[in-house]
Amino acid sequence: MRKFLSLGILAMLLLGWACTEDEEESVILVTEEVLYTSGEQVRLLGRLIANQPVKASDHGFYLSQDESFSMPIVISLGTKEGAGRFVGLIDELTIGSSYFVKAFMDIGKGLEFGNVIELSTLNPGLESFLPAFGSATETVTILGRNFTKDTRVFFNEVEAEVLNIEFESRLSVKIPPATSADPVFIKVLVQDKLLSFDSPFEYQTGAYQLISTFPEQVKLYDNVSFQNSAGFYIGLGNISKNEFYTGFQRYNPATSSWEKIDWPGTSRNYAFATSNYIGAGVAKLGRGPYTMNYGFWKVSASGFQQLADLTFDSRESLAFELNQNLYVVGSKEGDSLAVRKYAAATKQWTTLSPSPVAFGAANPHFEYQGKAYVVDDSAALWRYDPATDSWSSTGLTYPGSLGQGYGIAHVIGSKAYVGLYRRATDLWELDMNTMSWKSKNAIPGIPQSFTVGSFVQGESLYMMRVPDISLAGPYPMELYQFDPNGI
Amino acid sequence: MYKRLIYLLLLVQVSCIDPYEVTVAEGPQILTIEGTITSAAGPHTVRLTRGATYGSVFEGLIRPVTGATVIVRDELGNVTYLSENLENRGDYQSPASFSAIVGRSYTLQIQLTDGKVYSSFPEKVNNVPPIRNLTYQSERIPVEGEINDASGVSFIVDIDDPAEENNFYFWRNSPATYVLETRPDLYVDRETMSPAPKDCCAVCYKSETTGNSSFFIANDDNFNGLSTRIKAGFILDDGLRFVNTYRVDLRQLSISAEAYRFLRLVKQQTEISGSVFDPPPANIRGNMISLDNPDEVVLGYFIAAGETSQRVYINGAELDFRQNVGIIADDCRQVEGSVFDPPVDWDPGA
Repeated sequence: MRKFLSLGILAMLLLGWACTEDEEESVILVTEEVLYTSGEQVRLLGRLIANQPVKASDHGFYLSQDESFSMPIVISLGTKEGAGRFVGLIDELTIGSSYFVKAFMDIGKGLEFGNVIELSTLNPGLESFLPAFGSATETVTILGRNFTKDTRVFFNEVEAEVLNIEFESRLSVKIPPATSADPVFIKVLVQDKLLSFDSPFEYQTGAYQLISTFPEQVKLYDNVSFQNSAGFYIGLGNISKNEFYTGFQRYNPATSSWEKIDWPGTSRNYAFATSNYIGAGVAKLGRGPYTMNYGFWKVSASGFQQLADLTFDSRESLAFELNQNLYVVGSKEGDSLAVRKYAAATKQWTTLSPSPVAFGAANPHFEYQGKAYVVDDSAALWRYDPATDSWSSTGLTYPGSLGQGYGIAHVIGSKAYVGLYRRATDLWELDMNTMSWKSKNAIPGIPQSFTVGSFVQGESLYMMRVPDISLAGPYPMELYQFDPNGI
Repeated sequence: MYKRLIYLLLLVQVSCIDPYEVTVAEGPQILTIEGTITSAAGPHTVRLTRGATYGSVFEGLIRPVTGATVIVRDELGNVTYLSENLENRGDYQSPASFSAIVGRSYTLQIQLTDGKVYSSFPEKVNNVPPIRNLTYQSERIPVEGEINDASGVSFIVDIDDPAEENNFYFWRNSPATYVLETRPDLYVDRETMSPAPKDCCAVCYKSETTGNSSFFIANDDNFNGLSTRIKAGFILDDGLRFVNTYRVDLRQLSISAEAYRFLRLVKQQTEISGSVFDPPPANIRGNMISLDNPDEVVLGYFIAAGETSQRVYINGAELDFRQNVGIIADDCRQVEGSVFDPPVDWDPGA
């Protein structure tokens, strides 16, 4: 009986074993997720799940615009050893279109596919561009979305070179040459979709034309310049450490001719000059202490008329005229904050309220609507009101390079032009209505130059530039005509 | 004689013991990404680090990953660049003007200096219900082997959970500010060790970033569509924080189901106490993937969430239990993060 019992138990056990089935091979392919969609790109994530080692001779994705995948785009990722995720990137799709996608694999049983996912590529769009103002060959960055590789950019009708497309959202574009000074609109062509910004891009303007050179083979320093109805005057100062330049050259812009003008006064440098007055300066060349020149002259188109000598020291003073009065501000000798007024009617000098900071010939200044404006050594722009004899800060700062001082400033219409400091080439336009700065094209020529004379005639500025004294060689002094709106 | 021989043999045995040196295979320094963007005002931060290799504490350092290009991209293709914080390398911040839009999906994309590109799975920003009420209460925590309990302040939020959707909540603290009281009159010169009382200052305002002591997360499986009260935060009492007034903004985030799952697993792992009932340690997968090698392990999670927050001023005097007051015998301005003037928006009476 026991034997039967043992045999019975053994038989049951055997039966139990016989019922154990081998686990079936299970391989699942999933089109898991659309990781990324843009205008022309789709990045897909697939996953191969298997309960045993598996090798696919090929795997990847099928993509088609119809659900039946009649003409699929196949992204083959090659062989794959074992289970795991895989990423496929599909490029050069059509913007704003619907697609169907599914993962595929070949594990020796023919092609097998995962689930189908529907997706849509995105439409491009524009956000902004920066800067809104610039010149040819500079770079503009256009921000937007879903730009394709073949995106093209136009400034009005002129195509620009696309330098870089970053994350399909940031275009770096080289500004093409301007065809006019008018604002242009930037257009972006993405595949067949044309997008345009509402706000215009403005070209940086300012055209320089070399119109003449100084008629003598000299390089003038520490001189004066002024203009009147007879022309542009450049002179006095010195041409070397040991030699004064004793007269003037006058340029007539109407005839484009130069004329030598004799100076009846004594030689000097570091003098001040306006359209109607010349005065002060240093009487002898050399280092300090300086011998001051107190000669003071009235200027007219017909010549020079000596006035009573000055009773104060003045070296590199700033001078301007307002309401037919001469103002002489600051000096490198004596009181650096002194402000003195010479009234043409009474021929009397009076001392006014001191300036808030030290000004001098190194500070560019201009006159506008009966007030004087001066850029100080820290680039702050000050306003002087002769009616109240008061100085006030405009709150503006000159945005350009201060170089080594001695910039120029002039007004044409409601725009002031400031810049061209020593060893600086930038010139800026200040809109006196909006009090906003805009850069103009840089002056050509040797960058280490400085301006020895500047004038206004009509709608143009004129400036004479001379290379720095440290540059040896026969460099001519060049007279440029500047059209603020030229390109 | 035999005894001496035995002792000698024992000594010989001792001298023959060799230290057992374990050579741990050097593991890769895995990229770790911790980033959250929310519907609140920016800047939002994504932190990139490389984890230290396994071994002793001197095996390696957690190093910031610098110089990466980090963008957040929404489902429409709008890209926001995150710029690296130069004072805190490895932290990439969105512009202050950036905030996520509820309903949109966002993807984090990272390109490292070696050209490798990583992407997150899309994360949808879900709507977040407001905090209807925020209360606080002191809480004592028995500490094994200590006579005195630890304590702190727990935050309880009342929320009306929306019925039509499955919600997942995550609460975080914003940087906090509190009134720091010190004793400058007790100052002792450290060189001479003699009393040198200072005239100023005994009261300052100290700012600090205190994380919650745990992960405070919840899903609405048990209260879907109902009003409920949930513990949403805890700040430890260090003897200084709750002496006077403590201010903190509690942020309530509405996260995705996947983010909730990730945080729940992290919470489980960090709260393992060594008992037999603990869940087994596991490798927690985040939502970041290497596009160059999808099988590369990338740690961390990129969360995109709807956010609401509520400010609370805790009056220390109202707490049932506080730690003994810690004494700092110096000018309060000497304490890092302390300033004399209160923040411009400091208003405990509001």
